[in-house]
Amino acid sequence: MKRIKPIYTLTLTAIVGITAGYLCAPGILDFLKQGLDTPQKTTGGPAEVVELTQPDNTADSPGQIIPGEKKPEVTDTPIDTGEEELADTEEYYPDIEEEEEAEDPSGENTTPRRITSYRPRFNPEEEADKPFREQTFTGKTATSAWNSPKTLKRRLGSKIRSRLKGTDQKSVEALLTDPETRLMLAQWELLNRCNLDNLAKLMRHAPTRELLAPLLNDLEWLSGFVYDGELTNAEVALGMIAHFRQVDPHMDKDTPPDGLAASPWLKRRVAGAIAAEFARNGWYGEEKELSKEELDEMRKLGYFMPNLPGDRKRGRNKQDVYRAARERYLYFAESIDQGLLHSRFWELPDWQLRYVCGWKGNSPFGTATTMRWLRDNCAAPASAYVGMCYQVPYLPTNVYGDSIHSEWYYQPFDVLYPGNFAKETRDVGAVCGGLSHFGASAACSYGVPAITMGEPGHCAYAVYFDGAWHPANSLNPEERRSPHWSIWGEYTWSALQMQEDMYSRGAITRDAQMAVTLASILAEQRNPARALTVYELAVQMQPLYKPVWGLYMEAANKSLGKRPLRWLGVNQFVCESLAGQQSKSCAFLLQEKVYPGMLKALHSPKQKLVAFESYFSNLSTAEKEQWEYRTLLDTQYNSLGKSLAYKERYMQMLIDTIAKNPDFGPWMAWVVVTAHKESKSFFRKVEAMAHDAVARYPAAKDGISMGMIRGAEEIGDMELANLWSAGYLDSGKNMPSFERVGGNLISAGGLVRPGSYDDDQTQILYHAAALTEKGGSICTAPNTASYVTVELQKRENIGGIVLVGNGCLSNKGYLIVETSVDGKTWKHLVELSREEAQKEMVRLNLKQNHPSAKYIRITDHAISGEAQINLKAILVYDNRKVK
Amino acid sequence: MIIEKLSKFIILASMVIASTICEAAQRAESYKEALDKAGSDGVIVYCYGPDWNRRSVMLLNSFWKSAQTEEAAGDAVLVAVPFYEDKHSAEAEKDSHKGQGLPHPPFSVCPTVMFFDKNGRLYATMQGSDYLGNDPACTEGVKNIQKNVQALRTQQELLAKAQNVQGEERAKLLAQVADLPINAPDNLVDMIREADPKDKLGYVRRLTFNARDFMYAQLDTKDGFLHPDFEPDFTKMAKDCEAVFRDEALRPRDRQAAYNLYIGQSRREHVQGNKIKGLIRKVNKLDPNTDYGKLSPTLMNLWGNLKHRTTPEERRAERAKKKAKDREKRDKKRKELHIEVN
Repeated sequence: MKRIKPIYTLTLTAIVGITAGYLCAPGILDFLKQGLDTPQKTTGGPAEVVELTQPDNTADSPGQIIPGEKKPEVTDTPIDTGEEELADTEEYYPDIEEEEEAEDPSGENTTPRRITSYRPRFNPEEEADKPFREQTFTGKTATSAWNSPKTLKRRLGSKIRSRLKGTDQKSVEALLTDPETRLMLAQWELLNRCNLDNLAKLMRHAPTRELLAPLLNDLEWLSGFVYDGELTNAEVALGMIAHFRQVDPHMDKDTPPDGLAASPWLKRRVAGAIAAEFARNGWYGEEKELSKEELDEMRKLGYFMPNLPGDRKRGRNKQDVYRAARERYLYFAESIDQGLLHSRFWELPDWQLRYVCGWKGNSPFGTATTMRWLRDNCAAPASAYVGMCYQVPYLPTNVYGDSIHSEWYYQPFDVLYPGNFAKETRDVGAVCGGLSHFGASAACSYGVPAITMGEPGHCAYAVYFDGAWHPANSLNPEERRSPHWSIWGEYTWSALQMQEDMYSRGAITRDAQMAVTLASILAEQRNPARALTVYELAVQMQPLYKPVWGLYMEAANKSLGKRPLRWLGVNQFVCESLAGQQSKSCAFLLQEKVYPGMLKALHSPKQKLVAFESYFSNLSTAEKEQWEYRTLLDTQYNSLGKSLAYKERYMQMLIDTIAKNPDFGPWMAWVVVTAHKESKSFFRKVEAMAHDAVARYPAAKDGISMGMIRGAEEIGDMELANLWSAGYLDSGKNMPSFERVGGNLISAGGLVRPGSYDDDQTQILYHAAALTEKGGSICTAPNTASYVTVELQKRENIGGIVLVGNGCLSNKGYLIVETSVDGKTWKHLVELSREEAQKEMVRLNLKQNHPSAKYIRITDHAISGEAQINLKAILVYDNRKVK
Repeated sequence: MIIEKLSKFIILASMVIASTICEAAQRAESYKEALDKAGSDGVIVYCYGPDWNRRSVMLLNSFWKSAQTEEAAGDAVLVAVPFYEDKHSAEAEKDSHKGQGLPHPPFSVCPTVMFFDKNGRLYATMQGSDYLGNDPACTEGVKNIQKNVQALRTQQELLAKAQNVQGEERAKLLAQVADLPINAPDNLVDMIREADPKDKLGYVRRLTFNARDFMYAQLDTKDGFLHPDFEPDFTKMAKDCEAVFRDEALRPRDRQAAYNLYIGQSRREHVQGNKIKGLIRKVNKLDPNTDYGKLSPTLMNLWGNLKHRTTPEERRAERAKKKAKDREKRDKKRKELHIEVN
């Protein structure tokens, strides 16, 4: 007994302790407090807003009231009766009706359960004409509430949820019309993007809180900051904004210069745009070192400056990023105050401000000194920035004979242009990169959106005006352009244009984004089914808002479990929404987020075929960028198991799709390669399907032939390649006249196998022609496996080889010609020097020694620039007497 | 005597007053009207962007319409021409006559000031704050207007004088025209060539010498991209650069530019720093006020202290040996295989 007694005491103490701890946890206390508070009716509007307050638990002054700061209140001002109480209970709404489809072990039921369809609230055409502007509303969330961000987030979530009457379109839209709820959604989203511990440290400082509080209660500013572009490291961005407000006390007084339309809070919005981009990208500018006074100024603020993730590890000084951002802000603040920017800058929406003000903080073209010079010397109408790059002379070597790629190109001149890289570039010269950066930074410095972008072996840029992105200094078609940065983190030209489409419907986009926040709140509060419904609504509102798709599928995976017909419905919804215009994005989403859950849930290959058919039947436009479609097709095909009957049906479905959309012709290569791995009879059946498809859809002949030839080349089927190339032996190319070398032409009827394929796959049709004296076309992708192998019909003694290029044999490199008997071991035959490779045609006359070979390989080795095979003909002759 | 002196003074004073009155710039509504009115000081056009560039609109009053600008412009006719971004707006259409016949500025940058002689030949352009300055009155810009107008007058005087003389005398005067800080007439080189067909005075050479073309020829490149295997004949290059540097007919800046190639190549050829210093000093001595002259101290620091283990001759010999070996190997292989490449 003596021994047991302390144990009882201990256990009792532990139970009491845990219970007390649990009850005293902030959430529980709040819950109790809210339940006890006297309710007040609110009907919306600024006068009746909810005030969220928290005791000021600042670490720097515990229990002490900071002069100038509002006296902390002990309790919150409550809101509608019972709402809080209801909000914190999990079963406020019944979960989705559990009348789920009866389990069907046979998998015979293939009718997808369709999701509730959305009826557009706006007329898209009318909406596109008017620019979106968020409602003006100022909330009253108490300054002190922000020093406990976790509590604030939880309470905002509860309040929003308590206002939601249902998850149908009408209820959600009703919720979104209330400005106060919109503000709360934006606040919750901001908190969701922050590291809350770091935010708590930042907000613990009363002066910082005071600087930020007005912004955090401004619906227009906050929603633009949170939703108009990707927002990561949000607490760092907030720290920056606080600092901007400190160094520019007139941030809120940006009365526009005479003659310009008022743009309320322009400097606030600019501050948000700069902070968001600098914090997201972690840009460390090349700004000058801080002076002692500036450092003191920073210290005076005394706020906690959060580090960017990974910075400590890299040993970078966190002040650098703040300084870079601050200099950028001061540049724009000064330009706004003096009216020195393009008049349209005053009308730019937040997402375009991100491009302008958040322009490459890590580039020497992005320093305030450079931007100031560009603004004052290169101010031009927006459309003129397309040609602005040509102010810079294109000079690959400087006056000392040093190459642009060497460290000495600019270094001697730096002293003449301290901090002004744009002027230095204009005077010293540059190549494509310098020209494009000059053009783009000149535009951004003057308040016109622009970005630089990569193209194979080249740097171009794009300028935004007249409602679209216009390429500049561009040498390549759009599928080869990839922007160097983007406010949504997607680096393709089509993604850039998609953003434009998305924001052209600004009101619906913002509603969709807020609906996503609402769904995230529901998901966080363990309501996955309701979250799923709201996500579905959001994606229907604005399918171009990419981030929602990932969140939606996460919710689907959590709530759908193994319900095949629901999954089929979701799959159908994804395909209907995306596959038509964005086959690539849709494929990635299916591959990454839908199939892992769905394929487990579907019982039979029959159901799977229905799911895959959804994707194929909705395809309409092939993506211009090359992407790895084979992964998706492999996943689909392999999921069908071992049944060749289903696989045959799958192949038929795919071939029919290609026949109807010949742009997808290259996909036939996958069909050939995959069928080749199955039995011979299966392969023949698939081949017959291809012939049949061409017979039924004559317009698809080129597309299907292209894919079939490529497939044949990949599997090394000479007969198949020649069969499908038969109609394309006259490419209409102009061949130079030449004298034959050796005896008879033995390359005709052989097989071309390039190391890589160029984006323009139509030239595949003329591979066979390139082995004949009429000439064709063989082109590899730039800088990717720049070689081509020619397989002869049989092993022969080589008498000579003639190579004909498109203009020249190699752009800037040298060629190596090798031979092989087995296609594995290669023997060096000849190296063509750069000078020789510059010729349009070279004849290799193998006078005495005639190597015996079945394979000839030609490789382009770039010296500078791109390595790429681009030939009209590879003609191989034997050493026999001409027949 | 006093009366005589007084009358002389009165005559002189009245001439001065008359010339001042005569030099007050006139203003015109459109470029066409300005050309019609233009006297020997030609026309000066101020380009501004009413619907997109606030600064140029502000400068319209504080700079363009100021008395200082009018004074600096001499008797040139001043005209302000708006460049609208929205060319279809009502204002743009209303003002469209103002710029009729006006050549487009080199870059669509505002503010731009364009200078034309009375025949409509563009003889100077000023764009942006580098030329105009940053203050509202554009003090720098006013000075530059005065300089340009003065330069035009000198140009016209020289051309007039040149018309009355022949041969080398004429060539000398025309060469002075080329040295003025404004655009020379397009056919100036032809005129000099005509006056001095054998280019005894070297003015044609001076005006047609292109330092970049000279450098590209030395580096055996057409587009400026250097071939990695390219090995210049350093001795020849040094000799050619020296020759250009010594050619007094050429402009100092061009001579310096040619010598810069020699300096750069010396560094690449592993010439010791102290020798490079000597070359840099020569460039500075020729004209310390050009950009290249001003760069001398920096270059001394950057390249003047370089020390290399191998001498340029050793380095060159090593590289030539490797190159010859590669070529030999390639040719041997072709010979062995009896391959003929053509």
